[in-house]
Amino acid sequence: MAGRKDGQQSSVVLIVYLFLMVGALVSLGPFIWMILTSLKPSNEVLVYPPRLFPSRWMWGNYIAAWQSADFGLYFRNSLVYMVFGTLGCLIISSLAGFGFARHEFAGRDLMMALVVGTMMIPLQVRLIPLFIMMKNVPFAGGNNWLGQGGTGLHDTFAGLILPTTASGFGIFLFRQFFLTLPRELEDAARIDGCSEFEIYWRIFVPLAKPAFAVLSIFCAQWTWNDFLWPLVITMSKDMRTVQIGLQTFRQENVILWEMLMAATVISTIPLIIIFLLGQRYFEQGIAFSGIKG
Amino acid sequence: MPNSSKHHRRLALAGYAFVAPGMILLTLLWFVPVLGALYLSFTKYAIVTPPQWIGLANYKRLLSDELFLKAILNTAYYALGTIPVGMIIALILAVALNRNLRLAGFFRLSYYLPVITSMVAVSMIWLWIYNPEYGILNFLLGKIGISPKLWLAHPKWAMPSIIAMSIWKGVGKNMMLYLAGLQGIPDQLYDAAKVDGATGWKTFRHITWPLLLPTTFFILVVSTIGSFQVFEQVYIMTQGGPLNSTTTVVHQIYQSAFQFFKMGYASAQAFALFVLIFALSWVNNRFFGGTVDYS
Repeated sequence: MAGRKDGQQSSVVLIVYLFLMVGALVSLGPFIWMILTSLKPSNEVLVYPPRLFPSRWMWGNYIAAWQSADFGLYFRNSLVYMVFGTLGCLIISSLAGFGFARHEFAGRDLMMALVVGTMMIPLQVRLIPLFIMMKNVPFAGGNNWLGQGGTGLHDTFAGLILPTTASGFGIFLFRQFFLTLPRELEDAARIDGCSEFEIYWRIFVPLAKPAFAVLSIFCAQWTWNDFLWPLVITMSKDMRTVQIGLQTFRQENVILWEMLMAATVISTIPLIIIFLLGQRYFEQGIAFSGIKG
Repeated sequence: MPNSSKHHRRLALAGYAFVAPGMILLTLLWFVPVLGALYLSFTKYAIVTPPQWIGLANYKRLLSDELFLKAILNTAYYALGTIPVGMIIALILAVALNRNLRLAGFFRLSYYLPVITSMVAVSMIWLWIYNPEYGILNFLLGKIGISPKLWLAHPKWAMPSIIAMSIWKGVGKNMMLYLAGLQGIPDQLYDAAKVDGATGWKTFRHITWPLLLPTTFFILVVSTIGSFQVFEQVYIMTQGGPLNSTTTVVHQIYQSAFQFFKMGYASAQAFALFVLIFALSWVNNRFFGGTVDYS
């Protein structure tokens, strides 16, 4: 009996492995095809039936793609968006989360409910008013004190980054996390005469590394991959982010697919690196948002 | 505690100070825009001239806008195409992966790679795959006897093409969510079931599935909200065509606002989307909300 049970067990495991392998192939296949295409010489791309491997590996395609569309500039813009958007979000969310979790003040619960409520508001409802508001920021981009006459924060980094820094999700994340920390920590510090900011900075922030990591990765991914907001708020070529750059790369050139694929690979690499470095925080992040309970 | 009320006031003031930056920004960047969109939806506004109040005219026009109706139907088609299939595949993958397999890390990475890749990048890859003459899909299908299709250039196949690609991109995320849910089910329940002689399917139906309902419900709500906001793939791959077969609600909003500069009408459309999403979340909650507790 024991022998047959073992046989059944291992055949189930084998089927599971096979199934998962097929799935992984389907998942990775398009990426492999993209990479193979990106390394082909021009005359081996538009052929039918398609060839699998290039006859020679055109690593130069990557250099050509990078140079032909100023990707250095696009990378810099996306990096600025990512770094400052994430930093801004981390600072504001952790400060507010600390305030909500560890202080009592009139209106706190109402405000927290509003914060949570923002998570239900789709971006598209805010899109047009944000676009208009950014144009009419006083004293910005040639505007007078009434916000008229110039272009405001359109086509600027400030305009690009600001909306990302205000995140109900981020505030909620930090508040939930801070609620789990024991009260004795701050009570002792308060008795010792620490200011509230010192308590935040010296005690809570260092303890909140998982929350910082989760929100960082979330923000980094969001800002690097963002398309709609940069599309709307930036206008000049100098302000294009990587995603916008990739899209205009396709539109502005007769499609050389090997170039487009190379550009696409290039645009994806930073995020893959971030993911590999911070993989475990993704799963922690899911736990934090309270799916399980 | 000495000076208790002074202490409490100090703490309260500190509280206000900590939440102020966030609350001010949220007010400026979330609440004010929502109210602004509501206001704009009652106006005619093209940026160069000040907004002009026109009452309910935008909404009246919305009700008879056939293109917008088509967009809603297309979006619903997209949602119905991506959500059930995507969730089922994600669940199966999660159940399969929820063992201590040796290659678990590799599998999780492979399934999650499409998720972290930008929609722009994914669209470029699939534009190439769907290419009617040289794309690999038509080639592979030809090997099993299916004739080549125009995919994104065909009114009947464009949306299914986008749906298939979107399922491919999104499965990994829901799989991770289901994995987290599965890992929250205590092993004792499975052991107890084994002692009672339960088979695989029975265990799934009576233990796994009910305890996964909160996860399922969450995924359903989030997926619904997300799928009704579909835009990027449509903008990049088909521009709403061919023959408006792939235009979606957000695509219409974008066109109204940034191609035709009808900010007032676009705001009305955006508010209609807002209400639609709200209604769908409420429906989801009514029919699928509620949890199971086996403790």
